[in-house]
Amino acid sequence: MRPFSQGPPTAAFQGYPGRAWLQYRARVLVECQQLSKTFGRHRAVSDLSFTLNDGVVTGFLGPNGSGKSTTMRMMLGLDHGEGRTLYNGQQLQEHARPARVVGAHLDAKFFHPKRTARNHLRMLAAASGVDERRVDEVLDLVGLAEVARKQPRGFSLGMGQRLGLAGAILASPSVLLLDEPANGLDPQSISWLRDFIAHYAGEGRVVLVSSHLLSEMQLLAKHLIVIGRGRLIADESLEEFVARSTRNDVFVRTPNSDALIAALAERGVAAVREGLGISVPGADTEMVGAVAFACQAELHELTRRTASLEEAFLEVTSQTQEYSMGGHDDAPAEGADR
Amino acid sequence: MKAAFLYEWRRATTLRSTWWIAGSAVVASLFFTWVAFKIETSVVGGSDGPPAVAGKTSFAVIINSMQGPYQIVTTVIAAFAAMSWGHEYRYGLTRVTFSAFPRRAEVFIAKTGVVVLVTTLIWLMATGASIAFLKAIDTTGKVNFDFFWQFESGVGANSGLGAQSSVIAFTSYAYEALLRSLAYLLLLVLLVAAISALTRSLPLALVLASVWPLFVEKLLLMLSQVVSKGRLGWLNDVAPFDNAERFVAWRASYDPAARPSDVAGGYAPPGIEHIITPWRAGMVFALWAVLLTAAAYLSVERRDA
Repeated sequence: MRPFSQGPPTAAFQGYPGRAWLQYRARVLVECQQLSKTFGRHRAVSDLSFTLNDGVVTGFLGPNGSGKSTTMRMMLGLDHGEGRTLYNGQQLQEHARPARVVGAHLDAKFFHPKRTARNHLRMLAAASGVDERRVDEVLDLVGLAEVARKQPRGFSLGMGQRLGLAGAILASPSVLLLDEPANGLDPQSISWLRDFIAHYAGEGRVVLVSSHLLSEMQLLAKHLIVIGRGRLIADESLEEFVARSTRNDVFVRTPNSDALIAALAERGVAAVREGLGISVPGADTEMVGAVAFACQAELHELTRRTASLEEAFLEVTSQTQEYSMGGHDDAPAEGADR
Repeated sequence: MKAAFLYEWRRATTLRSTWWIAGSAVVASLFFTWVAFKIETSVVGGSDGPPAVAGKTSFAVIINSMQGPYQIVTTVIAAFAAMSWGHEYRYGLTRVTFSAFPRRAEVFIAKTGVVVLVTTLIWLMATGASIAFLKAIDTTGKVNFDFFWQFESGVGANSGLGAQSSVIAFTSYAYEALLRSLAYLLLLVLLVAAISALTRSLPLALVLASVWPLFVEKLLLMLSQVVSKGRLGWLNDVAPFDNAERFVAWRASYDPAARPSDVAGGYAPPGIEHIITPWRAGMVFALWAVLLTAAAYLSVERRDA
């Protein structure tokens, strides 16, 4: 198996000369309106509404069991429930060729193990009306050209991901929904995928990516939809989401820490000792610097520390985890009877 | 709709199992043709049919002989129908398919259409190959094909053949039997496809399609007779495969002098006369196929993928 195509990602979706529909790049808008889904007594998705805009990659985050996959399935009409999803004002089934509107990759194993990779894509091509040249093009793009005529039963998880992605982008759809597309990919492939998705969105398409690889998401997404227990927690830019975290602070090292803490307290700013220095949560360097100057504190370090997406995510979703690991909760609380 | 048909056609024809099933059906049909040829030509005129004309066995006798083994061929072909939905659910492909075709009725119609089309093609291949094979192995001219060709051109029934009328009648029954075998096969594949959509399980659909008619239904009917002392005789009239057997049974239409119970396939317990004729039995089986297909459609339309 070859790696993903070494060519520029844009080559993947330049379409065909003369195929007007592929050149069509009107503004795309996806509106999810009050999506709700119940499995028995369990409310998997609850009154979830958000809008996806074109041109940016939107990250879809949430703890395990928060309803991300269910939401994506509802967006595609695979799961029935309340609410609706509009693609440019129409529900998916109202579009003449839905396969050209949305491409989805929900699982790396959604193929018949004995149907060759090429035939799998030929089958999908029938849905969107693309020709077989495009099938070969996409196989080459995702690095599966050499195994195109092989049965995918022996494919690794990463190869399955590539085949799923190939199927999703086959018709160059206006909207791309990807559920954990980077699982099982090697670092080079993840890097390629990141560039590819960014270019895809950059061409004026809507891209929604769900992933647990938060470091990847931080590099990829510009906008975030965060859900917990099926409810919307955040719908904002990645920058805004991270900036809201209480883990953003200013770290100060000074031999006059007592004086500085007292001066900050006088201004109603809480500061806590951290190792050899002081952490001032939610503050900015200008303010802390000014207070230090005013109280004659000598500064050896003044650093703004920004929370990572992971820290911000953990903070925001800590109360909404459906299934949590036992370790922390089981540990005896500090000060508890021993 | 055209896209859904093409999608389904490619889905079906890009799997080796489809070709294996088609090949197996043809090979099995050829094998049973050979067996029937050997058996029926060992007795002048055939073991069960009209008198021989010019010392030859009518090809219709061979068709008559094929009725039993044909059930095996139909079961093989039914596996194709089970795969239509079974494979999709087994490998999560329904999500891929329904993402591409959110109007699920299109998928359902396309699948049903392709199942019927492919089944008919396999039947035509198996039947055509068997007739050609029969001609090929009949090197000494033991089989009389005259009526076959006459009926094919539509002149057999009224060709004024006089003393050979019983052969002509028999040949017309042979044609009817052939058509009924196709009708039975198409109803069977619809029913099996519906079961695979309802159960979402390929193995379960295959097992039900083969075990139910062979054992389960017969056992249930037998037990019902024993327990109810005949009061549940009507179950025979509504049981799907019991009726299907009556529908395809050769004697049902061959022997006009048969008693109603014989016409019904001869499965009536003592003292119970079936009033269901073969074609009415076929209607009962068709009703089961239609009801299950309707239930399958509702299931496909309403359940989460």
